[in-house]
Amino acid sequence: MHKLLKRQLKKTGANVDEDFLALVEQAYEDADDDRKLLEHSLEVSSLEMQELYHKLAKQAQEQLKLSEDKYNALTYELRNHYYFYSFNKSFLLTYLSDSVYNITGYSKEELVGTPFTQHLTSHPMNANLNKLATKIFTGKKIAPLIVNILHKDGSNLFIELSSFGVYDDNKHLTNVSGIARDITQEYIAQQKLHHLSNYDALTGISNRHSLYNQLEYIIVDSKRNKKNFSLLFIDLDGFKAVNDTYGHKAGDILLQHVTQRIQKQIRQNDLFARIGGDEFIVVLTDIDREFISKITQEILQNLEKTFHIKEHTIHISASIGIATYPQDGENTDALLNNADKAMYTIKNSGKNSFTHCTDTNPS
Amino acid sequence: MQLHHYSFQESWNKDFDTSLDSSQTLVIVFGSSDVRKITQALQDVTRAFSHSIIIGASTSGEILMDTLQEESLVVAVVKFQTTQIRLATEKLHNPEDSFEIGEKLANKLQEKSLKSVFVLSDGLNVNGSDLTHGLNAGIHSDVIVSGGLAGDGATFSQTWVLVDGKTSSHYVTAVGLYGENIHVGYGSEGGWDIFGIQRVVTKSSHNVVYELDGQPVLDIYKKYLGEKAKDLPASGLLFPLGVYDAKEEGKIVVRTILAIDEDEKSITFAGNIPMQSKVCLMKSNNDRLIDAAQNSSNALDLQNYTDEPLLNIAISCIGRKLVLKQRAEEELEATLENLPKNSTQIGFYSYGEISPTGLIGCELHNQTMTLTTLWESDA
Repeated sequence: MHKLLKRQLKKTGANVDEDFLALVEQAYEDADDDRKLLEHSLEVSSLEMQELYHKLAKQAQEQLKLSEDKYNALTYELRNHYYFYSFNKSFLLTYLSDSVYNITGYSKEELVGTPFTQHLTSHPMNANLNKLATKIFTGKKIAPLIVNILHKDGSNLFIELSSFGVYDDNKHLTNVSGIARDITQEYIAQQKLHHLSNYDALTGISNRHSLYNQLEYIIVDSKRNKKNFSLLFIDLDGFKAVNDTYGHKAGDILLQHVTQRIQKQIRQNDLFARIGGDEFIVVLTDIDREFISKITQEILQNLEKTFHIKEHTIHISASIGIATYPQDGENTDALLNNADKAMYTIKNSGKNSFTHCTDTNPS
Repeated sequence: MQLHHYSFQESWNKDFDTSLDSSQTLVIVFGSSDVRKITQALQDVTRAFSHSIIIGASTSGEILMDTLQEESLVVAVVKFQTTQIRLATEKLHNPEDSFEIGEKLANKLQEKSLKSVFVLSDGLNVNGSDLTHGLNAGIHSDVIVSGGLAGDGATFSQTWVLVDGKTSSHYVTAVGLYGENIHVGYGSEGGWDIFGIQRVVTKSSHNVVYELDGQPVLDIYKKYLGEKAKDLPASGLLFPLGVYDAKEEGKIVVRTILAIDEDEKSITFAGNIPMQSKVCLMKSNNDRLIDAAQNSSNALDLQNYTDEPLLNIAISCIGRKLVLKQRAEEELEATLENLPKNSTQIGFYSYGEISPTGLIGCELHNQTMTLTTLWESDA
């Protein structure tokens, strides 16, 4: 019998019908059963909830860690490539973020209060910086610009500055602030790429692509200023035989020597390009016809002299055609074509000489 | 409408009034799943009401007025004045045919003057959800469809419905009520609350569930039932599965256990539970269940009712009886208290209840008290 029921009967001394007693006892047991099941199920449910809680907490922690890692990676990137700056109307730095140290090697304490131009190099790109800074103080917007400064260790840095004006309550511009980005690596890579696409790898002088670009500019300038210039189309005589006899390597060295000899005869600023195997172009500006003939003659004489390449003694010469703007052509193609034709008249009439287009084609 | 009720427990409580026997008489019987106990009584009924339409089903407990009976037969005899009635029966070869059978029954009964359909189905060899969907497909949405799935105590072994006066498994019977004067009301309430963590059905097929959150569903039930796990599947009724409605936020359909498979660690539920459904275990207590039963009768529409005889068919789930135990009759008292004085309550504890949802025809319910009231106004 159910313990509680037994006690109750004992206490009251009641004499109860057996069927009735059986029903009451069943009800007592049912109630116990219900309570036990409820307690058990709540315990199981509570354990499951705890497990779920731990699982979710772990997931949340993992996710937090992941986003922290991403954040750290991002701030690392920012700290090593960006810093913030402000300077006042006297161009004195008033603020720098801590990351300036990571990039320039100078702490912000070393730099704040000094002119922002202090560590600029003499690179031409820095030339107009003061002018531009002044422009900002007049309220004008300027595009991001690149400056060349020296790292504390003496190495070159290229920094891109994106500046904006900072105004006081009266809307007066008081400071210039901005974000500085270290672009040294990409700048150097860009310069290398630029060199590769504009200069002849063997001789280091301009290539065909660069020649065309520069000639365009010279033509525009000459047209505007009503000036003449002359284009010398130089083709070496006997170069193929050198290659065949002594090998391509010797041929390449010869081309480098030829380049040096021609360079000696012209000015530093004269356009000088190699446009094919043994074809060179020289563009001479601001020189009259007579003097051009003189320089050309000197080039020929220099090239005639013996070359000592490795153990070989080599003799070559050159054929040169000269086209003069604008009478021999008003654009690059026409000038090159006509100089080429003039050069071929020399090739066909004994080589080692030069001629002006006007001489070969008087019309 | 004339209405008498009878009860057989080893003997009849009173003599039949055979004057009610007619082609417009509906005899409803609910009896023990142990056929031996009621074979003679059933023969008495079929003999006495040979012109009437007789429908019936086995139970997990018979309901008469506010009493719960076991191993008995309860009978309601309703002679309609003007209401026409028609019976339709279909054999259910396997549960996969449930939709088709529902549709066939509907097509047999559907006509313009159809007011209501009362369905009794085999309780084990059927997919109750599909059956109701089949009925909805063929019956006009204005028609009230209600009924239940036959029970078999708490043993889940074999159920029957009456076909030509004989107890038969694998059948679904339905009776249609036609005419303007029949008034049919309905109400259905559960009283179960979700508890514990929400889970996702990760493996299921129709009404068989294999895994929740990647764990075998049977293991989860055993863990929760503790000592009572040995009484599965019956003890599983203490924790029905609440299935969140994917379309209607906050709506939960209660699904009850019909069978378990120890090898596959699966549980067969009374209705379909699609993959990826969100589910939760449910529990209840005596007070919640009795309150819900009362609410089911509060929901009955008795507008225009005056003092005519009224039949209330109460179909309650076996799961409720297992929780309420000796207090099961309190839910019968609760429903009867709310009904007019001239009411007769007959019914049974079932393996599933069918009742309108108010929106899309009828639906299978589990673990509810479901009421269907019938009364007829004068011509």
